[in-house]
Amino acid sequence: MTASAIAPWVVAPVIIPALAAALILLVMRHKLTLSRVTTLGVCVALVAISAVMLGHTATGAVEVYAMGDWSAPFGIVLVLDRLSAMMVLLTSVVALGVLIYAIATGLDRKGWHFHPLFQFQLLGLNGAFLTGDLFNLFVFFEVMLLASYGLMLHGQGAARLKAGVQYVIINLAGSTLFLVAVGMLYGVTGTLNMADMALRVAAAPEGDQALIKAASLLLITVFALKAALVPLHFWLPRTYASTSGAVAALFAIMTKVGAYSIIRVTTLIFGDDAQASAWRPPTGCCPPP
Amino acid sequence: MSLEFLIATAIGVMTAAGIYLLLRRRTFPVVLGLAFLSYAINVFLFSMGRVVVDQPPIYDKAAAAYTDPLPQALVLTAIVIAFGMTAFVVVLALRAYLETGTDQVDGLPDAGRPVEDASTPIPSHPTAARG
Repeated sequence: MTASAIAPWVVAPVIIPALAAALILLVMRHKLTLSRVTTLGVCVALVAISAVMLGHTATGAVEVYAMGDWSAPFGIVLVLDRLSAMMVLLTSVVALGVLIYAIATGLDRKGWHFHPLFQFQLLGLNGAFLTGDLFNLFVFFEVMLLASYGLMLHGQGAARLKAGVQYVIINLAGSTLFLVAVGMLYGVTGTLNMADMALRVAAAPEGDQALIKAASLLLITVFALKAALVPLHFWLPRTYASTSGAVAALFAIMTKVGAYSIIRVTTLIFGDDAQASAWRPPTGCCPPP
Repeated sequence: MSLEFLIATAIGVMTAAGIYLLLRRRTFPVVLGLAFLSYAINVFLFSMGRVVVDQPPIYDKAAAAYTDPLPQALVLTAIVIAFGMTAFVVVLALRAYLETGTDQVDGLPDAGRPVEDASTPIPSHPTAARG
């Protein structure tokens, strides 16, 4: 397959769940079998599409899709490389398994709107993996989290509601920090496109280094909160324990969005060229040069 | 007093109030704290386009200077998201209170209330939250 043939498909993992969610919500809200078939079909299609994408990027090819055909630093771009293709495939495979289990155990019958929420969750996950824009990453994070609140509370119950309040509040606090970090980075670099920001950070004057460093550490903190890294993991056990098994299995991929974002941001924006704000994991013995 | 000082102070005061309320035990002050924090963030994002007075937000050859329109678009998005989240968390807190009988964020029972009543403002009282 040529490069130009696969480029429009980069948007498919985002647009298909979005359309399916709206369709299920509007047309087949009361038709359980029909919405089950639709969600299953979408999940199978996503597995197929992301497998093809992974095969395509295995050679190291990078596909860029400009949303609305606005060119890169001004518009929002979706970027498909090997890492994001792998994560999208992983999401699709997990989602398919979770969905089959949820249908087989009748979890989707225990409350309203399981299938649209599931689709919105996939939309947020795939979008977060594919986007090449920092603010767009925030938006997809929010889509993903809002759908996850609904899925987490699906089926109700006092313990679930109790844990749900904490889960929602800690994530809302995390989202505000995310906005602070994005705002600071935009204020210093004047761009939101990640690749463009990497260039600006590398060329930033001496006086801006402290601000960039503060913003980068704030960003890492937020992603660590979402990924439930150790000092920030306290929300996770109670949330996962009190929600239903299938949803907890799907949430396993949600914390990986945080891990993925850390990898993406630290290698791309705060990589080796990033002067004082270059972020590298503490290796213990060797201090940064 | 300069405009920059005013904006910086407003952000600082709102963030401080937000963090203080966020650390309260009952859900109502926590929701208010989240709202305060999001206001602070909105003003902060807005000021990230630099404080420019009386300039067009669209590039124009005749204009000598212009203000950055992008933070305004970001703030608009952030306002919408924060508004939706606040509405959701209010409904969730009410539902959790009605189902579990406790208004505490950490889910502890609400049994002994006398110590609480003295330290928390009246709107955070569970009976007020219901109405």
